[in-house]
Amino acid sequence: MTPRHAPSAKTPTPQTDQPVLTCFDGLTPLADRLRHLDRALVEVAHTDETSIAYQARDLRRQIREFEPGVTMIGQVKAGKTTLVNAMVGLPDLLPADVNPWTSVVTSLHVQPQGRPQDRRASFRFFTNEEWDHLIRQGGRVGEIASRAGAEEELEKVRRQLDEMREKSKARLGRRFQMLLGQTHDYDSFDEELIQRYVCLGDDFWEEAGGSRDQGRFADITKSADLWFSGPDLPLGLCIRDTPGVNDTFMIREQITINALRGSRLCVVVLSAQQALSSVDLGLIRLISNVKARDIIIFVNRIDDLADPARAVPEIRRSIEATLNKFEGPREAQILFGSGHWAHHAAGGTLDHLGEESAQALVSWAEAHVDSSLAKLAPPEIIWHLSGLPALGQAIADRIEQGPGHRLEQTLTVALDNLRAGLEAQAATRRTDPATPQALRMSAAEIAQQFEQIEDRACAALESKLAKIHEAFAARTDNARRAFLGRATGSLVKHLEHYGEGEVWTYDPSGLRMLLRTGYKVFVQGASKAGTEVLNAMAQDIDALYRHAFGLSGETAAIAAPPIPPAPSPVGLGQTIALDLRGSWWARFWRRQRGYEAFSDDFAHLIHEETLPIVDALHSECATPFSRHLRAALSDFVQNQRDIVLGLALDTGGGARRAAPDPSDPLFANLRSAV
Amino acid sequence: MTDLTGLKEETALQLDALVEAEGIPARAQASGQALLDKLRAPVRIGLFGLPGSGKRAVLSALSDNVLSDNVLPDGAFSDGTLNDGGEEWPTLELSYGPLAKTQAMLSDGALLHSDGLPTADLLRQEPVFLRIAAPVPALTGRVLLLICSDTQADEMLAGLTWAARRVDLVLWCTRAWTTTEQQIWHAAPDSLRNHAILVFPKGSAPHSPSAYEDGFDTAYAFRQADPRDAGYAGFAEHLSDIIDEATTQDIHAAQMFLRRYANVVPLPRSAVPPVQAAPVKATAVQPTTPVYAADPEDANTPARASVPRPVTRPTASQIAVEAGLELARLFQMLRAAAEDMRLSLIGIRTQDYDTATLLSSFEQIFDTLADRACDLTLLEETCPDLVAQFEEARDLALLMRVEGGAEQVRDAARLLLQLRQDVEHRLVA
Repeated sequence: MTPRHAPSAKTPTPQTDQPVLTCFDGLTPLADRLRHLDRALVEVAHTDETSIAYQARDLRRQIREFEPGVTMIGQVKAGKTTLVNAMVGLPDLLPADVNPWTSVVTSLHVQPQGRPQDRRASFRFFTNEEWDHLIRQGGRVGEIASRAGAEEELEKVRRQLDEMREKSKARLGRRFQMLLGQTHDYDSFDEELIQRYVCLGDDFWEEAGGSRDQGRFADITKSADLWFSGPDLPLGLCIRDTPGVNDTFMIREQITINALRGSRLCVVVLSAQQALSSVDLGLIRLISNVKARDIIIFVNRIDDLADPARAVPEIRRSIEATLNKFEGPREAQILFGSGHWAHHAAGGTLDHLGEESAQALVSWAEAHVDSSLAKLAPPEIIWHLSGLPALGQAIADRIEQGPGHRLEQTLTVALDNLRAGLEAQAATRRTDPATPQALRMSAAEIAQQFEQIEDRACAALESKLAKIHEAFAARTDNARRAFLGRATGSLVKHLEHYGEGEVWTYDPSGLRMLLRTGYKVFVQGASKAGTEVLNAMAQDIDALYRHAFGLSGETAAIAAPPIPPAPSPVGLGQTIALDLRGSWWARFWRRQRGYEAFSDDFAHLIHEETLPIVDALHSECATPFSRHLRAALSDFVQNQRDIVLGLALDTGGGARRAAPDPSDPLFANLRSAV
Repeated sequence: MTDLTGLKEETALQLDALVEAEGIPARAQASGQALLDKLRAPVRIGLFGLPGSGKRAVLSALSDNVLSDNVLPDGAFSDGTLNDGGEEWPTLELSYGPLAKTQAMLSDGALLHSDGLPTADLLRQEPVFLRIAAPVPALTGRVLLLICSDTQADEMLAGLTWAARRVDLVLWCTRAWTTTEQQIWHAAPDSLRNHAILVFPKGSAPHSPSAYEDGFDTAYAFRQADPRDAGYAGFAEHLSDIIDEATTQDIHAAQMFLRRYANVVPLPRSAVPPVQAAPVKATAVQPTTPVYAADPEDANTPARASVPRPVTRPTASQIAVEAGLELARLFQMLRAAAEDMRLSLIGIRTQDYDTATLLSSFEQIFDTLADRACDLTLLEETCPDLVAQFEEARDLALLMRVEGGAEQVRDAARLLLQLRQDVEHRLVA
């Protein structure tokens, strides 16, 4: 069910009397190169060979739909939302004043084309199952408590959740259960509409005295997607604003993990006054499973510092030390800035900076404004000092080196392969357009050859992948067993030395490291296997081309497409019982009695807690990666088969046809046959 | 000090008797013969390196300057010092012989035999391979193979692949151990890394940690002085130690083999000598004529134009022997790592140990051992459970490092000892 509602209030618009302040200019070179490739594809798409034209159009679609993503994660109150608003050039787009506003993943799809009024929105609610898991079972905390037999703790969680459910009922009425699983789509959006769906808070509307409509659906909203135009953006971009990672029921953590799965590039927003410490272990855990080069740490709210120029180097050292201590991504780039300054620079409201913030700005400016910056207008200077352009450039660099590079590689190889098809076509017509050169093989023989090539490649890939999966499974099992052995050994020693009175803890990061390394080895092995098989298949297809069409050695060779990227093992960052070192764990510990109970219960707890992590690594990372490799192989052979058979039918059919008809029974039969 | 040569000869005699004895299974006989051949063969030392890296200087140092660079075209090396440019010797094999003799292979495959050492006339014909025998005591029991190549990585790799089956010990001469050299080295056949030394003939500072990570046993830098005098003595001793260690490993393998069949076939001599626990140094080496194994590939043009040939599948007994040797090398590596750790702790009080650093070192040791164990294909084939033990030890070492603490350091040391014992038992079995 997807109801459509008209927005009820004003549409947020950027200030127009300000200089254009952008932060993603760094994407321009990539955008230009993609445009160049697009033009080349337009030329290829003009061919009368249907398969080639179709594939060229499909590649153009990939360029049009290219939308690299950036996930913003971080601490609660780090100012993520203000920062996101400034990045997209709409200072008031998402509500950022009341805490905690951000409760769901809000994806901002900024599109370079389109008019300012071209906007749409889509809000997705939790499904029945998800809601049930959260409310009835108490989310992740409930899972852990239930597994560990902590009935009292679980009961407490349930009571809290029951209260929450009652509030949701009161807010949403009897329709409440019916709404679950729905998506609400809108042709446009405004601030009020967004607030209705994404503002969470236990009692905020009573306290704020606001409209009951505000935040009405917030409890059950899982994700929000907003599409709007960003004319100054060289490429489409999706910025995902996520909730802060510390929450009672760990549901936000799960939401953040899912968001990270969607886009690897990650901006970690920290507050300058509480940059990164041992209390942020959950955050460090999450980013430890993303490649360091895909992480940018943005220390926001430097305007809260009395003297940012002096404090920033110290904060940088402290962050680096924390990352080092807790084995976080040490090489991640660290930037400093202020979303608040950017907000006012973009909104033309520098008079409202506030006295302390303005003083901090002066201190920062004295240290950073050089002669070239000094020539700019004040809003532009402040915009630069806010760190937004540097953040935009860092994001652009990574997009260019990551998804952008992959897309370019894919397009370039595919374009060359299409051109090879056109060359083959030209070669068959070269002697006399009216009587094309005869094929050396019949279309049926070509189809048969393709079948053999595909069978051979699939068998080779499956055989290699089976061994790699087997080795990976053995490695993860061993890692888990070694971890269980060490952890229970540590527990027994603890009990011997300190008895039951002292709370025992055990750092599970070793298991994560072992699993991460195991997965890295798996990815290397599977990537190598995929590359080898795809290259061998490309050589086979190339040989078939040359033989079938009698091509010379000078014609372009068919090349294999690049292999797809492997999923990041972000699920490894999920909190498990052993991560909980606070009062919850202490209470839980003290409830246990007797050495035997300790050993048995904790061995069971560790076993049960670690098993899903290992299973998830297989089912959510390793298996999908193998599936992607198979799909890459299958797509490649299918595309090449379509082209070669199309050309063969064109040539083998006697008089050349303007374009082969896909509904032609021979063509259709051959397609079915292969 | 034990007389290694005597022990080797005695072991060889016992092996000889065993393989000739009646009643020994055919497979065991083949294994015994392979071990015997290995014991009696000279140590084959390969000299590799980019042009100008100092290979010639090391060759001269190891052969008492028997080959004069003056005979090279253009006479580029009149002063006997290290020379970076000019002409190179072709790929050559230099060994002991009662009389100086030279066999030269020309690019068309023709073989020229001549008495004496290579002359300028001979070199002007641009031979692609020289086999030289010279009456030099320093060459006793050794064969030096100098691999000539240009700076092309492909060509150098082809040379390494060709030489892989012809050398026991690699001396890689280098000036700065560049990324290019590292890439070539890592792409070379794994067997070359069994015994390898990174040599800096030009006196550059050795890169020990990097050399170790790159699979070298050690790195050695000549002193700035001419390697043919002051620097050479140290290097010769260093090399002798390594050769003795390798010989000790071969003797161990042979003795374990003898022990295994002692019940099947009564040994012709007294009790089998015990396996040596530590490498011993050779003394009073008597010149003997090197044994040339018949190698049908010898007639092929080596290095510069050779293409690696498909290797035929060895027999099960050969696999078992080779796997045993791989294990023996791993065993030595483990012991060397333990010794390094022990030495690093000398003079430090127990309470002053930096546990975090020690645990990191242990983690690195177990990591390297597990990587090496996984790379040894024959070991993986014959003792998969042992390889799994190395992998498990690596995982445990990481967990201990994360745990931290003095007790974990003791656990890590115990783990290393346990692994040593497991390997030792397997070697004896």
